[in-house]
Order: sequence, then C-alpha cells, then structure tokens
Amino acid sequence: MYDEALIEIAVEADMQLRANLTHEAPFIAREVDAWLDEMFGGLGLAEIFTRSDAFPMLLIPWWVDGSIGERDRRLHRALTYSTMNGYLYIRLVDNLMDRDAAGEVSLLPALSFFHFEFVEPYRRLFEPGDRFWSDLRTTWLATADVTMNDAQLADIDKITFERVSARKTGAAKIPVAAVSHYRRRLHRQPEWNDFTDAFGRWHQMHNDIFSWRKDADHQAATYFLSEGRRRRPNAAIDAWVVDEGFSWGMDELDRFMTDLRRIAGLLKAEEALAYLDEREVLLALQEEDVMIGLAALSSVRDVVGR
Amino acid sequence: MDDRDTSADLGSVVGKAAFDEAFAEALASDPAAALRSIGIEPTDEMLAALAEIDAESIQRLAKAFEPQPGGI
Repeated sequence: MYDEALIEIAVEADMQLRANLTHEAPFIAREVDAWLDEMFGGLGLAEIFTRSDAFPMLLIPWWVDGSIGERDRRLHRALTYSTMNGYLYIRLVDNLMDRDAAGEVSLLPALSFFHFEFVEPYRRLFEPGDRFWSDLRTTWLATADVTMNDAQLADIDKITFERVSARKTGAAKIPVAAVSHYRRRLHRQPEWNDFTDAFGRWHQMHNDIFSWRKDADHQAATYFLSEGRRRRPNAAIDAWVVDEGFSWGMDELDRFMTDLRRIAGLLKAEEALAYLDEREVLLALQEEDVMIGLAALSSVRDVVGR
Repeated sequence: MDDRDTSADLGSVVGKAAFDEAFAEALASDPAAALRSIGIEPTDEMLAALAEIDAESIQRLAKAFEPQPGGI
C-alpha cells in the first residue's frame, strides 16, 4: 500500500518529532512518549500512520503529487511531519472529549507543540500572502467546528452523518491543498477534496460498524447506533446488529465505496483505485469472519429461543 | 421456561456471544456457566445444541468487533 520512500519519510518524521519535542520541552516529551506508547501499544508513529487500516492521510497528498509529476521528497517530508503533529493535536483533543480519557487533561500543554509544529512546515513552504493560508484556515476551523458539533449530537441520521460526523477527518484536505498550491496545480484540488471527504465517509462508517460495541459502552452517538435505535426502538442493540444491523452497515459502506471509486475514476487516480481494491479485500476478510460467526450463532438462537 | 420475554434472553445470549470475546470463549468451554452468567438456566437440550457449535467461528466473530489498538 505504501511506497518504501513514503515509509522512510514517515520514519524520519517520527524521529524528528520526538527529537524536537525532547529538545524543546523535555518534560512534555516524556509524558507524550508514555501517552503514545499506551495509545499505540508501543508502535512507532510511522507504523501507525502506514498501517493497512489507517486513514491514508499521508497517501492522498502522495497520490496528488504523483499525478502532477515526479514527487518532491522535500515537500513530503514537510507534509508528513506537519500531518503527524496535526493528527496528534486532533487525537489529544478527541481523547479529552471522550469521557473515559480524563487522565489526559495533564497532557494539554503538549497541544502547544503539536499545533506549532503542524503549522511550522507550511511557513517554510508558503509566503504569508499565499492563498494556501486561506485553505488551511477554512479547513482547520471547519474540522474543529464539526468535531465539537459531533460530540454534542444525541442522534445521527444520514444527513447529519455526511454533514458532520464524516467530516471530522476534513483536516486531511490541508496537505492536499499544500501540494496543489506548492505545485501551482489547483484545477484538480476540488476533486481531490471530494475524494478525501468521500474517504472520510467510508472510514467513519467502517469505524461506526466495527467499533459499535465500544461506542455503545461509552454511550457515544454514531450513525450506526442511531440507525439501530430508530429501526428497533425496543430491542437490545446487539440483537439488531446480529439480525440486520451489520448487513445494513455493510450496504452503506458499499455505497460509500462506489462513490469513492467514481471520484477516483474521474481523477484517473490509478494508485488510489489500487489502494481501494486492497481496502476492499481487507474488508471482505473482516466481513467473512463476521458472517461465518453469525451463521454459527443462528443455532444458539434456535436453541435458546425455543 | 417461565413467562419472561424470551426475545430479551435471545438478544442477550446471541448479542453477547457475537460481540464479547470472553463470553464467546466461555460459551464454548463451559456453556452452562456462561448461560447462567447472563441469567439463563440451561436445559439439557440447550447444552447439547451448544456443544455442536463451532466455537472458533464465534470467537473470530467477537474478535472482529474488538477495538484495535492504535487505529487512526
């Protein structure tokens, strides 16, 4: 899924992030190290960002650049470093908004580092008056806005899902804007933004389905859980998932994937299409595990329900 | 069986077996205790049928919905 060159850039960015943090703020660095170890099970940021099930926030700008010409490694070093910091900023805020993550309040000062280092690489790439800054401002603030909005929703229908929940990954459009502006190739930026938003819908729906139990335990509102309560207001949510919810969710995922493929086709983005193929293979394996298990459970249903 | 809502019992056992890896394991290794743990008194018929279930497939099902550490 990931070129060796991009993995190498991700490893360098991970090392640079930790070295800069240790140099500038050694106390925060120790706390952040412990936080990352706990959250990512001891895996490095490069491994996490290039996992097969990760949101392809490093890959999309890589594809955009590759569609323009020979990739600029210096540009991707800057983008990758920025994206890792931007992601950690958003992730820390998200975790703090999660009711089970109260202990992370002590990490709040680390946001200063993450935000500064998210923006800093762009300062070196773009002059103060460059139109990139307008894209960054609009996209960054829109992502913050939907993140707060989503956290306050008690019920999520399809329209709200597409307008709010699925746009929490909208900041992934910032490195897309950076490539488009840096390369002075803006005419494809709207389609790449559409692709990034469409991937956000697919990714969020995938999370909604396969993390539904954790979401239910945390009493988090998601499109998937809300739909279950709408369709079976008097039933246990797990019974709905078994009976029809999983299949319904997979159908929704399929529709989102169709839309993603349509946009990738318009962009003639062969690398993106190949990536989508691989994600579908992985999803099919997950689906197979679930469907075989559900079939086995039908005998439990026959016996206990008799 | 008493006059409790059997669909609720059904939802409990199927739902828990599907999405709780520990319960899925218990249902395979000690089905009587697993059923009692969620308030269902097992009958011989139930235990005989549960013995036929492919435990691995249920465990894989439960695993599919376990939170993946490090997901982004």
